[in-house]
Amino acid sequence: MKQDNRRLGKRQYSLPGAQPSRREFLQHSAVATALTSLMSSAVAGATSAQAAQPKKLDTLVVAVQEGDTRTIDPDDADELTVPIFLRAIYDQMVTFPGSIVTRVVPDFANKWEVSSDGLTYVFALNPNIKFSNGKPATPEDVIFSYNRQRYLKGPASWFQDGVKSIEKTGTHEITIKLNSINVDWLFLLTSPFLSIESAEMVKAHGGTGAQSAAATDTAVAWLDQHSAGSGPFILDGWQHGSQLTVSRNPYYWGKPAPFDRVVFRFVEEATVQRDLLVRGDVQFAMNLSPDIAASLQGQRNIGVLDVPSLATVWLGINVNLNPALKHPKTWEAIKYAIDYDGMAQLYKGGGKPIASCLPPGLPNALPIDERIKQDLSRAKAALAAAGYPNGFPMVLTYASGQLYYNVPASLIATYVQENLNRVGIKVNLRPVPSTEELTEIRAGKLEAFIHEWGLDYVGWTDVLPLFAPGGHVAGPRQNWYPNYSRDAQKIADLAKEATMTLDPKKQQTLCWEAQRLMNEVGPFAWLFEPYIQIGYRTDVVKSVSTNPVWYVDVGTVELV
Amino acid sequence: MITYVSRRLGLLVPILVGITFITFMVSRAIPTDPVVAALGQQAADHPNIVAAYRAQWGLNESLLIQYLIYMKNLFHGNLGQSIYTHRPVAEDLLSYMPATIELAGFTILLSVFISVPLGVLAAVKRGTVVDLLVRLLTLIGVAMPIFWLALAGLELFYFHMGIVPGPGRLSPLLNPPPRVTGLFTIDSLLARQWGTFNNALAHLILPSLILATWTAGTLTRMTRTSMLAVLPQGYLNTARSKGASELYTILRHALPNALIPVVTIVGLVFGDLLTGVILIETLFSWPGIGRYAYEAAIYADFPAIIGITLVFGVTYSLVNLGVDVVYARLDPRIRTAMALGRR
Repeated sequence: MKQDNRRLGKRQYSLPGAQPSRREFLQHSAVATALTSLMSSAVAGATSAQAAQPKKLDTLVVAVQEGDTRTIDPDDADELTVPIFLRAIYDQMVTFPGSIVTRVVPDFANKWEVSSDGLTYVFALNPNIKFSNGKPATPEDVIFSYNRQRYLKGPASWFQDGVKSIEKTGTHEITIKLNSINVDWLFLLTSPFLSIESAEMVKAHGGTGAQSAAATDTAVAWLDQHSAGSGPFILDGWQHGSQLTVSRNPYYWGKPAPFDRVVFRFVEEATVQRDLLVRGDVQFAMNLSPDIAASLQGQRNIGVLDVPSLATVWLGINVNLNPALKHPKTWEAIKYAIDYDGMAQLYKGGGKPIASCLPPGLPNALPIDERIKQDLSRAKAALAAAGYPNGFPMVLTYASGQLYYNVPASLIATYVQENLNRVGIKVNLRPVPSTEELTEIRAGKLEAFIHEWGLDYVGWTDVLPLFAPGGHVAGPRQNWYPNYSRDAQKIADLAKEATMTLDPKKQQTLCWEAQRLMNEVGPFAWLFEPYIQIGYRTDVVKSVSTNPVWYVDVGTVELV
Repeated sequence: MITYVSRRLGLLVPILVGITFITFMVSRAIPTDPVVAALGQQAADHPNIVAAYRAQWGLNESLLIQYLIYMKNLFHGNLGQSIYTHRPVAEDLLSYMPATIELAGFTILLSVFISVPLGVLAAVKRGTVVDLLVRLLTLIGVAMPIFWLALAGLELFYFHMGIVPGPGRLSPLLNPPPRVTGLFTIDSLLARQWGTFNNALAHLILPSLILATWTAGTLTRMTRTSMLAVLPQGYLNTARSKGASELYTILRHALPNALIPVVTIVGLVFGDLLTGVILIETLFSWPGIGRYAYEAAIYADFPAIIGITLVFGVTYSLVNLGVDVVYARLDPRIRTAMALGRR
């Protein structure tokens, strides 16, 4: 058999000349040659097209994860990945000056006044603002946008919760009254989810600001492919999974961008984003991992921006489930057993230590030198005081595939496990899918977990009151309520008082006191604040303003 | 043949009902709340928003009622609305499917183009260095993890050598061709946009070559085995004795018979490709059904999950049916058996 086949093989080449075989051969060769040449010419065309860089940059290309982007309708969106797109298209009432997030500056509104009771805000709108259809902006557009968001009852409608009334009080003036004091309200207005659209354009495509909006508004689909804003760019289209493209708004009231178009290219993998950046096919890579960002440091024509995310990664303890974890002394043991500085070696540039629930970039954050540091003898003493001198077992749940921005959750969980084992606390790690973890955390079913709190808006009131006893996080998720102890009651009172205090100094004193007490007796270990690491081409981009919510403001990019 | 095909298509209905039932029940059994997956942190703690969301998506009804509502809509051709994207699932599937079909189709073309000649060559040269080399190559192709090959391929051919374009279906600087089929290569040809066609084809090459390492490995081995079974047959000697050249004998007489089992594998492999390209689609930023399926699973998007499962079920069934029909074309015995209703 073997012999036969060998012979057959030989004969195949020794007798190639017969007519039918030649025809067959030529036919197959022709197909092969055609396909090969087609492929090679296609490759040559594509690569040479990319290699031939135009002298002037007409199109800025940004590699970014599409992530959880569900819609580009500013009144219906509430996802982490959307603000970068919304910020390019829409204006907000006020915004941040460049990369600073501790004060606000005019955007849609020129100036504003706040009543002494902190409940009434009067905004003078910028009369020069025009929407992308060329029509001037009016107070009615603000009223329409805010009402539409409220009545759509979508995931972002809570932004309108504190608003009692919105009224036009002049040709270019609007007055907003709040139900109760919200000391962060101006900061909240910077959110791209509080963008202002042209009422005329949105209404023309089925939008409404009426109370029936949840049932009757049909503009979401249109706003996913078009825009009705006054920002530096207009939405050209969004191809799911592929890219989102914007082009220059000819009616933009501010300084026009130095390029005509921005293509947000959806690239989920950090390594691929790096490759695209290094080869010069994109000018920004928005989602670098700490390892990749470190490897790019010092590389020719590449820069890395480290943007604080203002998010908090913490170890949370449910005070009601594991008997050992009901005792504040065991919480103390956990807090002091963790080597926070050692952890920084793991997340590298992808994070920085925090002193409490408020990351250092937020107003009223506890000074960083007051942060808890590892103290094993204190941890052991606390365990002994709690009646567990030899430690105890506990289950620590985390989301298996989760990245805290770009730091893997598994890396942090394993590190914490090792740290706690050192003082005798036997940690059984329980990795679960992220949606399952979130479901269980929100239902208060996890005895201990590692989780991340990302900001819904840049403001300390989106963090401290929620972590105070009875707050959204401490209460339902960790069963820590004011009646747990006198200290818990005190922290809750301090946090509440701070949210009602307009005087910044007094506010800070109250917040610091609450955080110090929380560090002492709270069921939390503050692990770190993730950083957003963004790569960019230094041979193309001169400067850009960054922000923890919209990462980079493409409208502020200055070219070399 | 028509009766046979109709009967097979009729059998699809109970299969699909079974698929919807199992998928529906399994997706509801997992301990994940879609509200959690879809709403932000503040929103999920807001009772009014949660209530409105549950009512909107029918999540307050009992499981059976939810299923019956779903089936009623399905029989009206409505696959429901995706909880995650807020668009009709059918619309989502239509927007994501073409990218996968294009990638999988091109991969199959490449695989067949590579593996059939290689398989024939290995069989004809059995036991020689050529055979050994082919077998080694196919083994590597089958054994190498796709994600590793994809990363290595991108690193080498795109990043270092620059001979293929980067990830995506098209250069960011080009606009997609006017949509007819959703396949960029076909649509750009129809629109006579040659530059776009070249660019789309170039973007297809690396991901499909990488996918083809696995499929071509499988197909080459199958072709070789099948050819080895056919080559000793007496009718080939008859052909040779009539003066046919060796190449003609192999291509005209041996190969068609050896291809029957290969066709089965091509069908199965095509089905696998449609469902198994998640990693490649993620690494190559390819907006296909694999990525849609992955996101639907992550965000507990039940309507999308069921829609995708249905599409996969239908695809597998239709591909199998197609394979059976091709069988009949290739093998008169099967054709006769079908006509007699024996299958």
